[in-house]
Amino acid sequence: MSETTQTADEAQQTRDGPATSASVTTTGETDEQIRESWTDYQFDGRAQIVTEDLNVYYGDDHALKNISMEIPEKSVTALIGPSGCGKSTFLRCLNRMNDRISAARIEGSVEVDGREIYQDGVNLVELRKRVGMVFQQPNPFPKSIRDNVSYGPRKHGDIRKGLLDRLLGRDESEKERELVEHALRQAAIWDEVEDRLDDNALGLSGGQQQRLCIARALATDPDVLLMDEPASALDPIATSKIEDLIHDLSEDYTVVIVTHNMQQAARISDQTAVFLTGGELVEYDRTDKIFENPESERVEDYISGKFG
Amino acid sequence: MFATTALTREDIGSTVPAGLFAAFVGAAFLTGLVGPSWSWSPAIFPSSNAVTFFPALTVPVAVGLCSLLVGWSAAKAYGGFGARGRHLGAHLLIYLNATAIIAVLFGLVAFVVSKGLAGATRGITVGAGVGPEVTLVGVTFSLPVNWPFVMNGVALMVEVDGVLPAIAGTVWLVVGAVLLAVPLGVGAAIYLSEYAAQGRFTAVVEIVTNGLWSTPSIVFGLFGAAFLIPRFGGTKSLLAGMLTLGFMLLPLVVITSREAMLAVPDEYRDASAALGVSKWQTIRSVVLPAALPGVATGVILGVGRIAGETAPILLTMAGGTFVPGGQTVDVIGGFRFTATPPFVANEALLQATSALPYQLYALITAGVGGQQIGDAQQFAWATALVLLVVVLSFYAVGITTRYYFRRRLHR
Repeated sequence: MSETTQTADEAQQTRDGPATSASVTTTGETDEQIRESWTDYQFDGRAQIVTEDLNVYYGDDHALKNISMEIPEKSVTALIGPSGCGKSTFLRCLNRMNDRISAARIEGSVEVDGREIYQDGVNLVELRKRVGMVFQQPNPFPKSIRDNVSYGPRKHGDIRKGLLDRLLGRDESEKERELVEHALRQAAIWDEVEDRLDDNALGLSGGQQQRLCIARALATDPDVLLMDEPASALDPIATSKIEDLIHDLSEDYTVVIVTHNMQQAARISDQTAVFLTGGELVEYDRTDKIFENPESERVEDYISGKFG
Repeated sequence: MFATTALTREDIGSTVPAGLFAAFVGAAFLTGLVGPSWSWSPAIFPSSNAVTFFPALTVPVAVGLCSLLVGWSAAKAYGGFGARGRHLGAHLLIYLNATAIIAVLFGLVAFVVSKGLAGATRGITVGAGVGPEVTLVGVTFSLPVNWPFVMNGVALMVEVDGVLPAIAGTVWLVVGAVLLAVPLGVGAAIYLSEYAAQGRFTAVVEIVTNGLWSTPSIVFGLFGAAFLIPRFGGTKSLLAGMLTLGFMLLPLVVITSREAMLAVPDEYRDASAALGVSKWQTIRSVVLPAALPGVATGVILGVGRIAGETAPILLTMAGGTFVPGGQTVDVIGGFRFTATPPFVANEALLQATSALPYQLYALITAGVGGQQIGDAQQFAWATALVLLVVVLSFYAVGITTRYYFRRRLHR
């Protein structure tokens, strides 16, 4: 934690008067204060993802501390905060991508549509089909555009195609064609790649590759779309296309997006969660409230650029 | 005084010594100081004639060295000295280096071709029905070309002796070794790079595979002779040769495949996992295709080595030096079904046969069977040429495969 953060905390503590209980955290705000600011707030719509007391450890490093939040369906939720504050870690908990890191240990509960995903017998294939993910760097496979989009459904057996299927007379190329077109249209890239679906995806520009990755994630028909800084590697024009796309997608999908860019969070999200150094969720509220009138001094400092 | 002031200056310091050295060498040759009868035995060696330099070696080396030195300083002078001159000088040396490598390669190939072409092309006739009869997919027809050297064996009644059995032996050897080593090696590489935790175990495996790859081939041959042959009926056989060469090829396939898979970006694996695709499916449809060009490179290198290997064949496979054309190994036709396990037998695999490098070795070094054929020297050079062509065609196949896989990735 930087020097400035600590002095800011101390200043805040003196302003707020002496801490009332022994449960003072290292950052100077009590647990109650951290939670009270938003837990009683009700968002519109049904909660699609609910986390409760989610803790993540990387070895001895306590990366996320007691995160409890509800993410409403069919909306855009932005996760903002300085580097290393755990927002990407939190995102990767929602589809259990952290399982792939052997040093990571996860405690607490994450429910997607009322079903606990951190328990024995959870079908990771089903979970990840329902909770899609888009990464920071566009990462299309070195395959054709068509194969990139139909990769998920084909591997899940939703589309049967190949030599054996052709011999058995159950080739579903037509179904694949429809699905690919649908996904590419949803990702607003169909017009650009319509006549070169068999070209290698690595030949696309960065922004097109990222929209292709979104189409690839949409092709498995998810309910939730997790995006880890999807536009940070792109130029401003490509970024604005992605932002428009996210806005359109939020009519049908629950979008959770991690971003470094606070203007971006302000532009596209319905609600914003602010993580600050140390893996704490400091404030979570409607986006306009967070940006105009945050409860926490630290959030205000962060948003106005005083630290982080 | 001159040395400290002038030699540190680049213009005089590099051209003058080079010129002086070249002039000195030229003068030595011209004045007859180093003439045809000159020789020099350095006194530092205990026996006075242990090391003697003769003009046949000394003169070309000295001339080559002088021209390198003069060329280098000339390039520097042309570049105007300074950074640009040094750059040009270095450029010239590197360029000469690359050219020399290519010249050596082409010289070698040209030498073998010039020596072997006469023997290899003896008696070629072209015309309908002149060639031997071939049965392909049930249709028997005569080839329109008769190329005795590659279509005949060695026999008393044959006009032009040939190396067909040895060619077939070499090709089947390589095919067998690749069929054994590639699936095993790639499988091991998948386990090592995708499943095993990177740590002490994988480090040990890496050291061991590197060690295996540097093991001398004669050791593999001994292993084959002592371990494999007693298990395959006690005689040298094609199968024993295939397995021995397969074991030789295995470590290189493991090493290169593992490197190729570790080089596949983790982003692909993450993307696939985030789509809910299982690890094995990810390996099969994303990691392996992306790694295939690297795997192909490894197999190409390995095949280049094993196809020309003599020692293991000598110990595990080679029967009589010269095999009549009628006994050319026929692996595909050799399969028979049997009533007892393992239900399939192949006599051809269990027979000793010949291979090109072994035949060459036997003919030239050991002089075996030289009296059977007319001109042993010509036959040997022709064999060398055929061996070269066979190995280069394996290379061509490998490079085409790699190109195909790369194209599929980056088209």
